[in-house]
Amino acid sequence: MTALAETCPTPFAHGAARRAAEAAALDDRLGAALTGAIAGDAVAFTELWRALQPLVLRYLRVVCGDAAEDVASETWLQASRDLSRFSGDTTAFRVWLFRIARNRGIDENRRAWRRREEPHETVHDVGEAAGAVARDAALDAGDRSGTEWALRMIRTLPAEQAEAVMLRVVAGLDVAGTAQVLRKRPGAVRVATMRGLRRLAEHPEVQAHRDTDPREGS
Amino acid sequence: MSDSLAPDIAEQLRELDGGRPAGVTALLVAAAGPALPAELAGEESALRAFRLARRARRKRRRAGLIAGVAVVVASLGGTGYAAAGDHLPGPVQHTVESLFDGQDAAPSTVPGAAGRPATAPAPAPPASWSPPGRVEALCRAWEAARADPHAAQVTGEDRRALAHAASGDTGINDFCRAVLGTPYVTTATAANGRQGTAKPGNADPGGGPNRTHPVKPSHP
Repeated sequence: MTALAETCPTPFAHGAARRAAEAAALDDRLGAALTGAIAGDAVAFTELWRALQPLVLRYLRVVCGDAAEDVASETWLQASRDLSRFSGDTTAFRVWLFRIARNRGIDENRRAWRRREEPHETVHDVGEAAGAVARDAALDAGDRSGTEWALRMIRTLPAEQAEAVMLRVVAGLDVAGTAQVLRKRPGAVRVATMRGLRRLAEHPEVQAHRDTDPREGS
Repeated sequence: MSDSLAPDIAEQLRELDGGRPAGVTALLVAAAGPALPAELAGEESALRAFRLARRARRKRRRAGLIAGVAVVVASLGGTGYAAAGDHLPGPVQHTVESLFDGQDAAPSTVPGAAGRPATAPAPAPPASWSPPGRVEALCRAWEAARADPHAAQVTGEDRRALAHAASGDTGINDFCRAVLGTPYVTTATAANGRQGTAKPGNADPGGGPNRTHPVKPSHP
């Protein structure tokens, strides 16, 4: 995870050093968990899962909506099968995991498309479904912190922008890692992220939200 | 969760939100907020899947090992069986027999692998090989022509075929001896009924451009 630049006077740069230290500690813990999970240690795997499952799930909600839970399960199943062949650090593992998630998500969208036998919003045309995004039942149930709202907003973006924003911000991948997951050039990832953020900033709901800080309500 | 942002993202947010505490920044913080209980509900089944995958992998590995051993045993056994029945290609037959028996291989029907004089190793024929019968016939003709200048002569074409098989003109004699399994044939012992005559056979049948007759020795 990229540490927040301490020079950034963003509103949530308060405690940036503390957060950076926490992030580093988390990465250390994840590194140990990753090593253990590769060796077949179930406890280590659980720790890895707890840290990354919410990120995978949120990314998949943006990619394939209501099927996210199932696709996340498939993702972890495949990761469990192939983990012994993985080698690399936690950053490489995130990239690896989100690549699996994305491939499974795309598969699911194709399956859904065949099931419905009519055009539907795939990962490539999520943006066209803007404004008509189905509410996510699982998130509706337990979320009052604004996470649900935030993901719904991100889902209104064109797919490549939505994915770039999710991978950069939520999954914590850097430009190179995001480019690897999306199989795009780093420049394309930068542009997609920038456009996505700009588009979000222009969204009326986001503008209406300006005066409230969702963190307060969590 | 990711509540810290990469510098480039933070920079963009500063521009987009103009330093206000909400807007896109708030949205991203919420999107990357702490894990919700609902999101961690699948832990048990994920763990179960992990254990099953590991177990299946161990089984596959064990099965793979057993299959590997079985393949090795079967192929060794099969090779031995085929070798016992003399069904293998010459060189393999030879190798397997020396491997299993520690003895020289019996002469096989494949040219080049036949028992040959230890002192005169013949060039082994190439793997892509014309029918053994033809080579043998050519060699017989060659040997006959060598032994007896009055025998039917080896044509240039046949000679080239033999030279190709023997990997060179100079190897034809050794090659043919190996193919026919005959000991070194000298003109003196040639079965031409004229033992002891000084009349040499054609040492180089078919040699020379378009030569169809051997050079006859000059008779007094």
